[in-house]
Amino acid sequence: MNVQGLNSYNLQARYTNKSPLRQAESTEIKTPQRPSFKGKESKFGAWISKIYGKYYAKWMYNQEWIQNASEKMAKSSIPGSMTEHMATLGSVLTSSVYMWKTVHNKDLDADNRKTLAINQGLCCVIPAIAAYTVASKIKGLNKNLEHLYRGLKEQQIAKLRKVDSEKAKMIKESLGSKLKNFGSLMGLATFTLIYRYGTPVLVTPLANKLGDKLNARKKAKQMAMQPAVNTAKEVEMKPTANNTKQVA
Amino acid sequence: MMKIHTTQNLSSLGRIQSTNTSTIPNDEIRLNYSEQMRKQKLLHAQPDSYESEVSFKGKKEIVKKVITAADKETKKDKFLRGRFFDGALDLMGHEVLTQACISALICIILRPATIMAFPTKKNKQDNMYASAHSMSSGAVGIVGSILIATPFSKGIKYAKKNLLPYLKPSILEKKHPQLDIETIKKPFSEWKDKSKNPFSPDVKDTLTVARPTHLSQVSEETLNKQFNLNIDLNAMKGKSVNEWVDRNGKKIHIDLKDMFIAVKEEGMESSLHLKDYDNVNFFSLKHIDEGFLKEIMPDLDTASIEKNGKRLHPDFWKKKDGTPYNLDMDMIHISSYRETKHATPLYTGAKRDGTNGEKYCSYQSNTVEKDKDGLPKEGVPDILGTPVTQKMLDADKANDICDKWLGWLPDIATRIPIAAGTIMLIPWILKHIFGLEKSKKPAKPVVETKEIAPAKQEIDTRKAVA
Repeated sequence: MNVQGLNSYNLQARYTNKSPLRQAESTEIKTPQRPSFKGKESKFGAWISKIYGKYYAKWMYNQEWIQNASEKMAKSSIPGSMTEHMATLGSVLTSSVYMWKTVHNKDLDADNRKTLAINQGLCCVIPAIAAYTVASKIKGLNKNLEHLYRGLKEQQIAKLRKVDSEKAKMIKESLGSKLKNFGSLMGLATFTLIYRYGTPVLVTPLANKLGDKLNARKKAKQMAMQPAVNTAKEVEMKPTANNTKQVA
Repeated sequence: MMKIHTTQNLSSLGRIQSTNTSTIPNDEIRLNYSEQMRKQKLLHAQPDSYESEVSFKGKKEIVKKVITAADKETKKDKFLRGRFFDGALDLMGHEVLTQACISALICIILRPATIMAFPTKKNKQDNMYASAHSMSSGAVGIVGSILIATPFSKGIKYAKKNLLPYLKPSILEKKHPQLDIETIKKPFSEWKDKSKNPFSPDVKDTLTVARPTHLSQVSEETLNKQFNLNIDLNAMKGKSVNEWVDRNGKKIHIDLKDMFIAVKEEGMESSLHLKDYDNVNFFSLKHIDEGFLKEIMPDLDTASIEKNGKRLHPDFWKKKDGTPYNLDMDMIHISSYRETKHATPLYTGAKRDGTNGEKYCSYQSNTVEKDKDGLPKEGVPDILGTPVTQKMLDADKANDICDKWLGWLPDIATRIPIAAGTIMLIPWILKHIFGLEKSKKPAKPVVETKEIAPAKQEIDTRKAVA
């Protein structure tokens, strides 16, 4: 028996079934959308790519030590992906600058400096631990989503090939690199969300409380060491400066 | 012309046919042959060249029917298929810029919204200042990454696409261990890998098929339009697939490559993502490894499944005693994206080279025939591509690390001056350009003694949430 090729049947007629999946597919076929974010590269953009490609990337790729170092890192058992490590490294560097600036800020008194420095340090360490933990916990979920994404795209190609072959070809050509980027995107999104949102909203108040506690304990110690002369004599109400520091 | 057997000894399949509705068949229903195979091998001590490629560690058994729920279009599918997510994946070619974009999204929308919605002890002006500060830092991040890191990542993309022929052969060998280094003197389009297939640096682009669906669950529309079965499913209700006939009364015929069987092998990860089907994977009868097949179908005479180097249709397969094999059609699944949105790798049962037999080998899609539009032909491919080895995957991981290093390096190198500049410039810009300044709070009365004791000075050490 001769089995007819898959390309020979009418694809429009394939999606007459009333299942939600096919209904959604048929809608998409009728209104093919242009691929997103895929504009034609400008002449300047192409020139930049070429210059940096030739004089940076090619030169770096040809360095044996870079290749060897990459292979060694690939073999190492350090958990997490390179994207996550780079995001963490960037955050550590930024936080270090903030801490250094705080410690050397002459407008703040010693207690304030300490509180802020603790805050900034914790705002680096806690999110890093949280981000690595969350990223490792959702690794399986990411893998499942990656497989689902692949299936959805292959399905999209299958139904678009007769309707808009150019778009189908574009999807197919970029699929490999997109799948490669999938895991990195999820990791980066997790890290950035925790660093840039979770940190200021959740960790800062906690870090402030910790700093206040430490200061209070220090003051209590100082109080205990004060001679009895300092016990209250005459008291009066007096306004005092309010040092509040705004930090990004 | 292919001869089709229209008569089968169905009585021999009775035991298997009676279990259409079970989710996972019990031990009796599953065809577990691996133990028998081992016994036979020990008894006869026949040399088996296949053993070096396929592991005998895992117990293998055919799962007659994999039950799948009907796919429904979910919001998650819409999001994953949508333009926004696709764009984000495209943008990941520039990781630093992507990070800056995600940060900007958070700093410009989420954080200001949170600050304004949940005011702290500060006043409204301070909240506005904190929001503006957050928005500015998001904007500075994007501008900084566009100016500093993006040109470098564009260069990396360009080099990966166009400059492979300009890399040292020693580097190429390390980056792409599958590459036949003898062919690099030729133009790039003529480069071959060690399997003599066209060279493809993309290890992730492997052969996949739509997750196969059991014949009894496939819609009539798909059976007739995609597989040309010309069948009336209403008339076949209650019958075993072995008894299915088309509208002309002839036994149904499915092409060899479209016939899949599900096999459970202990210790092997499932690619199906289905509950209750751990260690289960699908195998096309066209591509399934001969030794693997021998293990799961011990009655089969594997010499009869091929002729002139080509795999024959199961209609022509024979038992060891020379009688027709009579494949149980009730265990056949077929692959169509009209039935599912899930993809699964095209495995043969051979194990990935370089592992201890704990992973199946997948194949690059570098040999797939293309149609007139340049698209890979639809359906199950006829030829397998280059087998993906562990060495190739390790090299790909190292390449990935190398690319990320080179992409992030400019950002990491400039992170300190940019952070210092941001700390100095943002308050200045907010004050002098936008006229926003942090309010000076009214003085707070505190208790103070005439002889000022340092311990009683109270200073607000609150740091603003920003």
